[in-house]
Amino acid sequence: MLNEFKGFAVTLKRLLRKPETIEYPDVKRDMAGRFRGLPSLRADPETGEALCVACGLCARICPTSCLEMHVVPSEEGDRELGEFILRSGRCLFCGMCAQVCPVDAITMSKQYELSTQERDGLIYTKTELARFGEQDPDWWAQV
Amino acid sequence: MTATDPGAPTSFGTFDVSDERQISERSREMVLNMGPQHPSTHGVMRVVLRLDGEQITHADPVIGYLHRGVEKIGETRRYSQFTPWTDRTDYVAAPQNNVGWILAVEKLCGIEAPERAQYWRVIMAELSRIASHLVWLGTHALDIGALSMSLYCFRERELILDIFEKFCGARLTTNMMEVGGFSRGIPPDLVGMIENFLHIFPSKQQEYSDLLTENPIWIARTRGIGVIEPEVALDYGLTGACLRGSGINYDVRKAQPYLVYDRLEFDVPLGTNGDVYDRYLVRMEEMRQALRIVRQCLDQMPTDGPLMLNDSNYAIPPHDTVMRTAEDMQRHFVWVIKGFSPPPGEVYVAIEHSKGELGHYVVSDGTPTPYRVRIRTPDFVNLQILPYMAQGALLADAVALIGTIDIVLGSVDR
Ligand code: SF4
Ligand code: SF4
Repeated sequence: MLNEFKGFAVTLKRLLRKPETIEYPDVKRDMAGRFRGLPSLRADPETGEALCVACGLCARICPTSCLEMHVVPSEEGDRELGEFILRSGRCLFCGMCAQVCPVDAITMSKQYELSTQERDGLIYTKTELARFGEQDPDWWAQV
Repeated sequence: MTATDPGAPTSFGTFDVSDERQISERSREMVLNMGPQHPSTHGVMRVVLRLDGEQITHADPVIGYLHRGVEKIGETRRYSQFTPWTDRTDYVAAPQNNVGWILAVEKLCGIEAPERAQYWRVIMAELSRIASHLVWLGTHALDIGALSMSLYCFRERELILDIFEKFCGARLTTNMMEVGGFSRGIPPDLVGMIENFLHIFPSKQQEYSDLLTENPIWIARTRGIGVIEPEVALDYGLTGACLRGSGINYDVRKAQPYLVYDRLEFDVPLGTNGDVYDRYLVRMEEMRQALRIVRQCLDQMPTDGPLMLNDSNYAIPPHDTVMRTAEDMQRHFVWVIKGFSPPPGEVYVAIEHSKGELGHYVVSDGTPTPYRVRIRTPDFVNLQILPYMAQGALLADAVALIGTIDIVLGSVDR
């Protein structure tokens, strides 16, 4: 008999404590500094120019080959980034692209609400990735 | 009403009691399909049960619904690229899978991570052992009928997942280990979070004990159910709590110590009866021992020192010097573009996973991608005991029997 009440005691204690859950989506939790959300592209905070030097390392390390990049000749006769596409439906959110980028141009953002109505919504272009990249002043490799 | 009328009720004829005698013994069995979308199969597993009344005469687990060809994927990726896939085998204990894979690759390359990194690997693996056991305990108790347990267990598991998130940025698919150690430092308040967990968890675990260990309903549903005799456990090649619940003392951490386990003190809990209840006690005690290990690691660990192997062809060069020294930049580009090539050879590395012995067998042919990757997942082997345990058991106990093996279908099917 006593053993049954032991169980009830634990349950009753719970009754008076504050809830452990939060009311998502009205309240959102703070993500840790290293949180790995959608990969995004950073720009130089002063000049606003994209940081990517089109070296291609991120596309090369990506285990699912979900990054597609096009390199175009720049005005100075050098090479620069043309289009940059992330097929996020295949992304593992592993963070390897951000880890190997030598100039921290690609970084893991805090973006995690990624559901869309159709598949095309999972494909992100350079402009969209740059928009996510702007939002976070502390980039992933820094923290 | 004519026979062609579609609305006409189908006639089954009249049932004569004397017919029953003609029904053979065999056809009195009923075949019941459990799963693949059954909540207590812990994923997508199907069990075909043959029943004689309430009693199970045969249980056949049907697996493969979650097969993704992870081993084959491993043969087409470079060594460092495969780590994120190991997260997705046993997805409730990703750091332990990472450790298993990374240790296999490091052994193949003939390198060893710095001491401090090894301690951190142990801490993460042990925390993940607790997290994995909490998922097991919560769902197992839920299957048997103790609903609140699952909520309590998941609440404490959050604390561990927060630690993982702080450490590596992900809660479930962690991808946290790297060949050679850790390329990023330890976040400053991480130790505080772990200390906090070590402080909170023992009293919470006491709560679980209070709810279950002496609970008459829990005992009635688990004691004497699903008994595995020691010889049978050995014959089936069981490992982990399924083996130790039957009283056989085999723990890879003691039998073939890896990382720094030989410097740490911990006990290997053993059961006596080999039933569902004993396996519950073994896993509960394993959580306490895991806490002890984490405590010792925090105390023994060198407070500074390298976390990553330096000047090794196999490890990623330090991030901050990539754009500063030409040599590091070159190494970095070669490491990323070409990958590293371990010498030809083969290794088998086993670790003590929360579910049993997790083995990685890797064959290298001297190229940057493995020639063969084979993963011996503990729950795939442990699951094979289900038909033995279910024979003669009651249908109501089927969920307890599946739960006690502690399977994760991502790991069974790979
Ligand atoms: S996070 Fe991983 S999977 Fe996603 S784009 Fe980066 S490297 Fe590829
Ligand atoms: S994002 Fe970084 S790694 Fe990728 S191409 Fe640009 S500079 Fe290279």
